[in-house]
Amino acid sequence: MLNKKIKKFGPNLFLASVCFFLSVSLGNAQASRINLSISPPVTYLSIKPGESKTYQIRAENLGDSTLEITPSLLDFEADNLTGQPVVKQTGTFKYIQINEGSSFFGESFNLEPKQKKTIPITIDIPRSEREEEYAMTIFFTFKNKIDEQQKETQAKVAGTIGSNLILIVTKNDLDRGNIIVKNIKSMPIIDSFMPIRFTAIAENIGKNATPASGSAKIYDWQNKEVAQFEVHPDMILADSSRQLRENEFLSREFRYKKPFLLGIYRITFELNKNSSLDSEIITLNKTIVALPLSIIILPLSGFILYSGYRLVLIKIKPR
Amino acid sequence: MNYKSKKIIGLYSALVFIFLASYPVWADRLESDSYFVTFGNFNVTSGEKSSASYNVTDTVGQVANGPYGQYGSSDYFIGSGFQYIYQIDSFAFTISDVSIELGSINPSTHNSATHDLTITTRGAGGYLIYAYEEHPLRHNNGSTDIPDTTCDLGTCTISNAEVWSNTSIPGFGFNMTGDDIPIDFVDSTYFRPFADDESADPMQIVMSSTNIANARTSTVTYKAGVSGTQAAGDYQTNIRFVAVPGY
Repeated sequence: MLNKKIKKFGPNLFLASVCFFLSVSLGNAQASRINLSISPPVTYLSIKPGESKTYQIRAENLGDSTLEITPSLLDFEADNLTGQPVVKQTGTFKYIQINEGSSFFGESFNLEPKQKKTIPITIDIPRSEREEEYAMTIFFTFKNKIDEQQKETQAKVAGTIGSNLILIVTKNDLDRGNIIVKNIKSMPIIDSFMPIRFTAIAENIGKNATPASGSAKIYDWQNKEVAQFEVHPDMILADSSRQLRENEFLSREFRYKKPFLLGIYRITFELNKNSSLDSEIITLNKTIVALPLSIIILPLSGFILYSGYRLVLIKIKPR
Repeated sequence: MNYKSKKIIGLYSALVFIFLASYPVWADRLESDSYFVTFGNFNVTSGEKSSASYNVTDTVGQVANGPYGQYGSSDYFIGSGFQYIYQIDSFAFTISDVSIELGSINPSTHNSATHDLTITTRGAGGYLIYAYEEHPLRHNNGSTDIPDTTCDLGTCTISNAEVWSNTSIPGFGFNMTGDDIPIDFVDSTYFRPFADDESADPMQIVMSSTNIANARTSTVTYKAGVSGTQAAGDYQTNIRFVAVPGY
């Protein structure tokens, strides 16, 4: 009788046990994995002195355990090359509130698995505030709410994810960005069989962040345009520099390749000063020379080698 | 129409149907390790238009374009349609394991543990991830530390990895392998100590890219070793990874 029952329910019982252990072990494995998404990663906001504005950051817990999230605020400055923020250790901007003032930076909240939360950020600028651009990052430090904190492990890991805020305090909506091309870097003389390769750095000497827009062109000795590259519209913060990127491959190196280049070539960058419709166009040129160096050098080196060989022979074989 | 003709037409129709039904429809997700192409919507035309004097982005023919909802509150990028892709991007950061268990460490051995960091951002400005420790691995008594590693030759620093394979050299450090890691992590034998927040070390970049990142993943390997005179007991620290989007 018992045997019959075992035969009947045994496989089901076995399967159920396997499923149970799998789900428990999977659950444990996932419990220590944390995953947070925020949106937007970057916000550009303009505000007038005496004005108040609210924008939202949306946080989403993509993991399988409840997260304890703590917001904080730190300033950042441009790295003057890539557009990656250099985060400072202090947050100096005073006129910012989280959750309409009902909570504050440093106060934690919980976010359940697969849940989203919209976090209102309010900027309240006093009338006396001067026109200036502020760059800061709102950070969300996240860690598992349960169990993990009680575990006796050597290293407990927490993640922090940031959302950048570039805030422009301005009395009007005019774009007062002022982009100039600081320098163009390339080899002054290149081999005819090599591509023309160059990089450029633009600087924004204006009062607010503005996108780089314009193009790089290459002209030959007859002043004929032989190549044109669109510049990617990367934002350049006020009083900072950034390496320009070509728009197609987002490469920081502009590259023009032909089977054979010869003579004088002129690289020209034409950038809009800012994004306003009547923006002035700023230009910077650099001249390079393409010569068949490999064609000259190869026979020359052959000749030198042969001469050396002859010299050695003469020394070895006395007349 | 005779029976034979009907049979031929029937057979022909069946063949056409089978051919049409079995004809493959190709679709692909345009992506690689370092980029993916996103389409904001279906429309007549969209993109960037420019001349010598202007540069504008537009969308023609899109259904239900923006701005609307919460994104309309940010007024620096004023536009409608696909341009809003710049504003509605998300930035996601995953840590595969937040409890690093190095086990019981004996003198002249090194114990290690790993986890993965994964980042996804659609912003063309890229991202970077910093790392730091709150303090060195510290005994529960609060005063005894396992020192941060200086590697085999005593030359590795918070910003420069060196070989650390000699198990008689104690310390605590980490190695990185995978995507977008600093070049000084030449292979799995190269280690750095973490930047120590308690000593006011600046946090250090452990992953970075200036391009779009689609699930870029690196593995962090923690390693610890103790000397024969190290006090027995539990040692702990907190490690922080800070992900910052480019702008």
